[in-house]
Amino acid sequence: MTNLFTNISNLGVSELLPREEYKIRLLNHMSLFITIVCLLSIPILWYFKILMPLWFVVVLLILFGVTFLLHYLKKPMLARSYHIILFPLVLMTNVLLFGSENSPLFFFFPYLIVTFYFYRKEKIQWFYITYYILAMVFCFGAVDTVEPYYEYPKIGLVNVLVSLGAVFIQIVFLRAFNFEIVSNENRVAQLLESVTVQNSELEHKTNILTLQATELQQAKKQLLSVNEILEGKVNRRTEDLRKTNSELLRSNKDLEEFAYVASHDLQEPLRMVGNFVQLLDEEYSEKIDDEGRSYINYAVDGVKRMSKLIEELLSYSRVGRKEMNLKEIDLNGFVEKKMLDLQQKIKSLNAVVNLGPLPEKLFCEPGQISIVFYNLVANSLKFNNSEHPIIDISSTEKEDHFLFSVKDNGIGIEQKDKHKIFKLFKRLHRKEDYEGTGIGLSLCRKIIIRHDGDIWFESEDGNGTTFYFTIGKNLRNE
Amino acid sequence: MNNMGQPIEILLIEDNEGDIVLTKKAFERGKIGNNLSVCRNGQEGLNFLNKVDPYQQAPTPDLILLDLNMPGISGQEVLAEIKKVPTLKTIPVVILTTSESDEDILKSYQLQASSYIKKPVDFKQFGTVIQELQNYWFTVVKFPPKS
Repeated sequence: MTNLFTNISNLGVSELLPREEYKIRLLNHMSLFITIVCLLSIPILWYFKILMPLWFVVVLLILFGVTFLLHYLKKPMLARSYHIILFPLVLMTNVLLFGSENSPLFFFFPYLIVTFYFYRKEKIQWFYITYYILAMVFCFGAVDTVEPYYEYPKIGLVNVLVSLGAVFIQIVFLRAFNFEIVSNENRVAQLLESVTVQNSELEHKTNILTLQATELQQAKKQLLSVNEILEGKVNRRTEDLRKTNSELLRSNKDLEEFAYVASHDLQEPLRMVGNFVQLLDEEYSEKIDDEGRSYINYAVDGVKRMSKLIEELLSYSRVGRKEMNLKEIDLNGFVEKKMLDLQQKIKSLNAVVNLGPLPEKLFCEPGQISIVFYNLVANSLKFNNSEHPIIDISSTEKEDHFLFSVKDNGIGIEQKDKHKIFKLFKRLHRKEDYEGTGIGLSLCRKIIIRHDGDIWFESEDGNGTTFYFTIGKNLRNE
Repeated sequence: MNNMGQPIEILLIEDNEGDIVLTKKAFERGKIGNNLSVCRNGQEGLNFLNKVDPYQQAPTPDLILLDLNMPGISGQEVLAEIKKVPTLKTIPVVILTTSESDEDILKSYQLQASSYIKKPVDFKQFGTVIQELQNYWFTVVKFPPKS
């Protein structure tokens, strides 16, 4: 029973503002009271066989039940207006139908207060006040002037019930009102408390944040200082590197300069030795015996070889000394012309040099590239015991370079020697077997590297050698 | 003998004593009569040519043999100086040096050297070179008239 009452009281109440909640609950109480009154009236009226008011009570039940329906449908504003407007109309109908005896006119006052409570807007309040006063005036005026349509016996119990109801509504209203205040106070207290809690939490968090900010600041400072140190280190390293690099460049340059000057200046005394030993031989030949002459020959031979070495060292150092002076040439005619320098040798060895198609436009330092072709072909001729030495020169164009090959049918190079042959002054054979200084391939390599290329070879001992080298396509003058 | 019937005047500007001896020897073996004067550095050579004290009596050479690699004034500077003086610039200058670098060769010809000869290591070759030189300059070529 209590449950039912609570359920009905809470009909239509949802998570609303507290004030709205009380308004809905108050209206539910008022409707409930009217419903109870009507329900209690039914057996009394039935007992006294007063049938006319019975249908009226049923109509009332239905009319006020709509309030619950509207609450149930979550239309509290509509329910409120409906109920407030409906009530004086019912009273007026009651007066017109049954006279004033059992019309609970004193209901007007609690309803007026409820209206005040329901509506806070002045215009609406005035509207309802006017409406209620007019209804009251009508009812009180009609009590004595209108002849009741249906007169039923005076039943004191009904009047008692209605009076009690009016009191009940006022009590309920006051309770709700008071409850609202108390709960509001509680709520305010709760809010205050939670605000205080939140405030202290916030303070705590602020403290933590301040602490963290300080820590961050410190970390930042540390980072900055570390950064500075690092930057300094990097700068120093860069500076060191730059220095080392420039020193390296300089020492490289110095080395080349040294090689150049040394070989240049070495020539002079060497020439003296050679010339004067020969002069000695010529001018004092009658005083020198055969043994002495053979010594002189050894000396002259040594001088000549030394001179040749110096000359080639000079040309080797010269390759790196000067800046590249690149030109675009047609390699076909160029190599063919260079081969004329070897023509005598080619003829005497009964050799053939086959020139395949070569790049028509090659950006290179012509003098140096001619040295490469000359040296490779000269080597192919030199290290060749075949009766008909055959040398094939060909080229292929690749994406960013040209690939050249010089292939011979000579004595080949043993695998174990493959790392030695590009080394400066490295000779694989006795000078009595194959003459030479051992500088030719080193020079080729140096030139090719300067041309953004690479040089290597493939060979099987006794089955000829193929030298490959590349020249970059993107060479530009500095 | 030149076309005037006088011995040919040659000036050798060379700092290396050995080369001076060798050059003299080579010229001695030549068949053509000549007077070889020697200056041992660039400044001396220029003084000789400009007849500056103690060379007031020096003859104007028909041919100059010039070494490039000398202390003080280098051979190239001497050559440049010679080519600036109108009375000297007609004298043929033959560069006789150890260097065979492209730079030196190019520079010498740019400075209007008449020829560029690399001193051979072999004395026999040296003799041949001087022989050829004499042959060419003293019998084949006509010198400019002396002013």
